[in-house]
Amino acid sequence: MSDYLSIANSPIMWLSCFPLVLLVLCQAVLYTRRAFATAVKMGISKSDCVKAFRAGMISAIGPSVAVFIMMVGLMSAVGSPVSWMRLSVMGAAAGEMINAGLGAQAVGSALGAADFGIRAYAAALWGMSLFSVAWIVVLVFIPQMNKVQVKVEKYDKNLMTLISTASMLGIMSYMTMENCLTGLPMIVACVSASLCMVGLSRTVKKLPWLREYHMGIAMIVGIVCAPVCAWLIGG
Amino acid sequence: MKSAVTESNFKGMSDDQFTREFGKPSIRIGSITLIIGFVLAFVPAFTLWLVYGVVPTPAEIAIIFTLVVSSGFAWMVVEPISYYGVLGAAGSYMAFLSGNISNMRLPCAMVAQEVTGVKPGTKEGELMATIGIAGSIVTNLIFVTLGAIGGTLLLGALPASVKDAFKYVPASIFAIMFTNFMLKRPDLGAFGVISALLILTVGSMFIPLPLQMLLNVVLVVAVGILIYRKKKKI
Repeated sequence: MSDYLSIANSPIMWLSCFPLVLLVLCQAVLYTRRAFATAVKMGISKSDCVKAFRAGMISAIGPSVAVFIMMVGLMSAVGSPVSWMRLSVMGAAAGEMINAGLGAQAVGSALGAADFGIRAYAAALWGMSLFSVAWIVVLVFIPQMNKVQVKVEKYDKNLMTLISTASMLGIMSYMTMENCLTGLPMIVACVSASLCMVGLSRTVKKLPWLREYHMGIAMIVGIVCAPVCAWLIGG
Repeated sequence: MKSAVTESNFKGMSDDQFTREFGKPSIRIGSITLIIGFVLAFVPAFTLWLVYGVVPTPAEIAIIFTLVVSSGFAWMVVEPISYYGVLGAAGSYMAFLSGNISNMRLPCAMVAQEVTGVKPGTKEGELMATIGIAGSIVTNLIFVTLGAIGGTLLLGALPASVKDAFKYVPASIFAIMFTNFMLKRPDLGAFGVISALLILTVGSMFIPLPLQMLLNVVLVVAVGILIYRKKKKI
């Protein structure tokens, strides 16, 4: 079982995974340059753009650590290089496990099974790669959605802000409730993080520099309170 | 508060110019990178084939394709629609290439808009969200690369209680994002919670899982527009 891992972790596999990771970075650079140039033409200062970039970087630390922790499970199944590539793109570790598992299943094996060998590894790779057809769907949809957006903006300037805010509330209320239904510690995480956010949103009016960090602080409050609650009800 | 759009040199941009400067190029960059990404995603599978001679048979590949698409197709269709209103075109292309949309890209887009004091759903809002998402991609790449190189070692050094705590990260972030927008629109927030609860409890008996979130988004947007039109008439 372990010999497929020596291939899965070989330098040549690292090399084969590199291009896609590089592409993700290139795309981010291309969009950043476009957005900076457009913003400057609109009269937004470069320092504001840098502020936005830094805010994105800082706010991604918490979620990235969570991805990092989930990553190890995937690494033990399909090796480090492919996990590195898959979690740089699309990448929710859970989703990748499903697609890798479906691949293995098609050749009569399963992730973590004793007979998971090089053939199952190949099938898992195909399973994860074939999921990329999702991008073809995105390719077809987004330009259409963009046309609708342009029309909506022509019709009423305020409508797009409303749609954006309402979609966000629709997404986040669903996600929050979905988690809350899984048990008391999750509810505690949501409520404590949420209360902290209410408090912080008042504080940032006086201390604007805090704005870049307030989400991180509220997140820490959530992930500290929830295990405490789990510990209290468990023991 | 100091805001990017209240500064004296802010002059905005016409719709047509914005489409020319940012809208069209965004779609071009996105289409090209996604097509290249689609090809590059298969490089490891082909490497294994060409270098080590291991490849599933065509029949097996057909089965894998069917399994993967049938398990994911509904999500593939529903997600781009659900997230578009928040991400915009450029944000969508980036978020769908790099993943982790609800727990990483959306929060980072929001914080980027907040620190610069721009409104979501406006041109400047779209620009700042795009930049924020790009920033989050850099952080994500750093952590994933660290994880791939030294993950097992690093993770061994973390106490179990810390690892355990991080499973609450997504839920906390969803609640934070919700609260932040609820403070702006308490009415829509309250409606969202009630409809989400109904969908998740009663609705889940007959509404397929991938459609549930989209339905909630559609409902909240619809109610938002209804309220807006009513106010406009008065």
